[in-house]
Amino acid sequence: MSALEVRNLTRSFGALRVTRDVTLAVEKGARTALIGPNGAGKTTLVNLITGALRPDSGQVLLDGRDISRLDQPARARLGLVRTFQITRLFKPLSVEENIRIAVLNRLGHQGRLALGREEERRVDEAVAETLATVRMQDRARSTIAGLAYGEQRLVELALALALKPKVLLLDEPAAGVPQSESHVIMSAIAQLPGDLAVVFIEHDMDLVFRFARRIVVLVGGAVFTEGAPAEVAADEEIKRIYFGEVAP
Amino acid sequence: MTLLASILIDGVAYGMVLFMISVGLTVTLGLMRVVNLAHGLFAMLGGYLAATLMSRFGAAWGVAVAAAALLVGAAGIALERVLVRLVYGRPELDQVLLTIGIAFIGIAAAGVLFGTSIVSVPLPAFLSGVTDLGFRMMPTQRLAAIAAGVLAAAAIWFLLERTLFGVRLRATVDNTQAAQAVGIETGRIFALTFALGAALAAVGGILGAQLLPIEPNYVLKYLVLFLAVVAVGGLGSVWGSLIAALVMGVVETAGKYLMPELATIGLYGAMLAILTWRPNGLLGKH
Amino acid sequence: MAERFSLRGYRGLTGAELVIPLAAAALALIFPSQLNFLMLVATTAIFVLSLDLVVGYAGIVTLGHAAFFGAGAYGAGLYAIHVTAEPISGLLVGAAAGAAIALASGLLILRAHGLTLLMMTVAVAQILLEVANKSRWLTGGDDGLYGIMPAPILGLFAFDFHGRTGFAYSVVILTLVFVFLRVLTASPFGRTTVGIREDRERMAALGTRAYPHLVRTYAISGAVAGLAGAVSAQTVQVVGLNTLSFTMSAECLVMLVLGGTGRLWGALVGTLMFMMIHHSAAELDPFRWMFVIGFMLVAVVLFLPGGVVNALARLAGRRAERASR
Repeated sequence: MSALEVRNLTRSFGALRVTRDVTLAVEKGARTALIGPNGAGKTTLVNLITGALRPDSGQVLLDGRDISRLDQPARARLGLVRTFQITRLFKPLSVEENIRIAVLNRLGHQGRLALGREEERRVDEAVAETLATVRMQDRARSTIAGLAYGEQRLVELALALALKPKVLLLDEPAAGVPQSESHVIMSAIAQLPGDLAVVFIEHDMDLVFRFARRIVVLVGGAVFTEGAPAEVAADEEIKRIYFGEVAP
Repeated sequence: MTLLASILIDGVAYGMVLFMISVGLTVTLGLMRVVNLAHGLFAMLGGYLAATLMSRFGAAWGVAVAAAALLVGAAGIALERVLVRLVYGRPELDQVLLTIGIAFIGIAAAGVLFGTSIVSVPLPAFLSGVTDLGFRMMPTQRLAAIAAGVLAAAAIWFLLERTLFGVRLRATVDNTQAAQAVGIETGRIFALTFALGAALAAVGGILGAQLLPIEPNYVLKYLVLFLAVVAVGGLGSVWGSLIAALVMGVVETAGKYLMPELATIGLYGAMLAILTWRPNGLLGKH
Repeated sequence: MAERFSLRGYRGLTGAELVIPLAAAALALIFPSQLNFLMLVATTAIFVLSLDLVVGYAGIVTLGHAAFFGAGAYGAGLYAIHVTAEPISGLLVGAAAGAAIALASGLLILRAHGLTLLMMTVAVAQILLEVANKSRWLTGGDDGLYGIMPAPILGLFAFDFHGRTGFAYSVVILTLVFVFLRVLTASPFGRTTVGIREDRERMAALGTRAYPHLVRTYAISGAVAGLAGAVSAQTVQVVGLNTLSFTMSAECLVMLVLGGTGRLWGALVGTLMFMMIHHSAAELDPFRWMFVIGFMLVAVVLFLPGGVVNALARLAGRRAERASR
């Protein structure tokens, strides 16, 4: 049973077919890269999987369970978590506060007016743990505005990790991060839990070949091909599509 | 039957007045994304100016209306260039605060200059009195309001669909950045649109002076009505505001004739219902 | 500037809350003949605090919040006249009335946003105003609801004509409400509200549904607004249609935005500023105060964006940064 399975997912916007009959399976502990030219529908696919967008037809299964009818918050609570391509953080709050909100959600405390001493301690611990995972303990009290963009991307990742996901969808985790800061993101990704199923959209081929154990190529909203990195890298046709010389 | 006709004529006249006043507001909101709570100032100012030109300077009605419209239009440009421009892109609340401030200043100025009592805008001979429509007599003024509204709508249609300015305006509304990239001077378009909306509001204020009396509190008193037309019609939709204004005019008038006790409740209830059914307004974007 | 909320401090309280009763006492000593006015300020401040919860913390702009204030005022007034003059239970009735109206209207309108939502808040308040207007037999309509004579508070403190009891009463309740809202906004509930304001999509991706949470926040705000209305009914001892009016909603929004949203202190500062100007300038002539307020608003937007309290906080933050370099 796959951690995440997608069957015949289809979505159109008017006459434009953005996602065509996509079927994929992602196993526990997978490191799968989702690549494709601009406009191939990668982010739309992520939106369909997480429930931010409703498909015209098709199913999404998490651990074998059909979650197609659940809304985005419900899917997040079941462990299906995503990050955003452009950082979406709570700007007036500190790093610590941002992560705290995520932790409160995971523990189901987000609607509480007060927490008991023991519950409070668990939350504090979880926040500290997440901060340590992304190595941002000393920046805990900074506001988002005071962070470098690379650090903001880390917090974006931290929010997702704070939810202790089963399946993690990373939308261009290194996008916009200057070269000088990208190694932090890289090492954070390298240290993701082994049993976590990770799908990441990326344009940065270094990142793809470093982390991906499987690559899925999306072109024009449909799965063009998938396979091990070496195979995909050798495929001449893919190179041509990427460099825009030939339409598929 | 005649009751229905009365309701329709009175309602449509009222609706046309609301349309002329509110269309500028919907375009400003939809185009420049500026919440201008002082929009009623233009209508009020139109009324005051026309009344003053006629009583103090003895101007003929037509001249007074045209002059008032021009002056208010110019005032609109001035206001936009000096103050409103400063809050483009600022959070909604900042715009609310600034324009309420302008409204307060406008109300205070009106009170000091013209006094607190209602200023009536005298009608010319050919508009006062009644017209025989065959099945009943109607105050000519009502018919004039309807005619003006139809004329305004036609002129707007012509402007939008058949002139270069209209093409540029529609492009700017659709996608301001793209329009700039293509070389359209969006700043000028904003200012001109603001001015046109203000001038039209002035005319609406003059023609509607019997229905919405001209006095200092005009600006905030009828703000709710104008915003309702915009919301129900859909932000930025000219034709939406026409439909919304007519619907609201007829509903409120029908209420006043048929169940005066519940007229206002009926109007706001209808507004709630429409907005629940169509959250983006009748012709708003989805 | 990071919001000051301490993980270890007692649920967001800093002790600064004591400034409120102290400042009130100081004002009462300096202006002993103005107790009735100060009482009005305190009552209005409670209402504006409830507005901050919705506008500042939840990010919902409303021009119809008077609906809950008026509901509480009429509710407590009618309770005092027809059931019992006991004031504390009257407060609870007012809060319940405000909460009920807020819950009902919130369920209806909180799926909308922007101008649509704004207009729906106005529509709800206008409908309620008309209902009150037409129900002369119950509310007194245009003439107002008279004859509210609250019994002594806790059987000990009788309401006197000088306004001393009323003043102390309103200040105590104001302080308690402030403390409650401090705790609420620092709590997980409050943090979630802020998160929804900042980015609903993000919150959904984290597992929070915005709508039910916003309805709850709206209802709590309605309860506080209703409480303010109840205090007003008991201390002024008459309830008029103005408690439900658009003017009330708009003026209080202005007070809030003037002082600064999202910090609770802004509500207090803004209310005091606005009402003091209104009080002193209105005596000269009805329009002078509008000039002053109008220019002040324009000035605040242009030079002190975010309202007085937020702008000052930003300046203080910048000065601290410069000092530490």
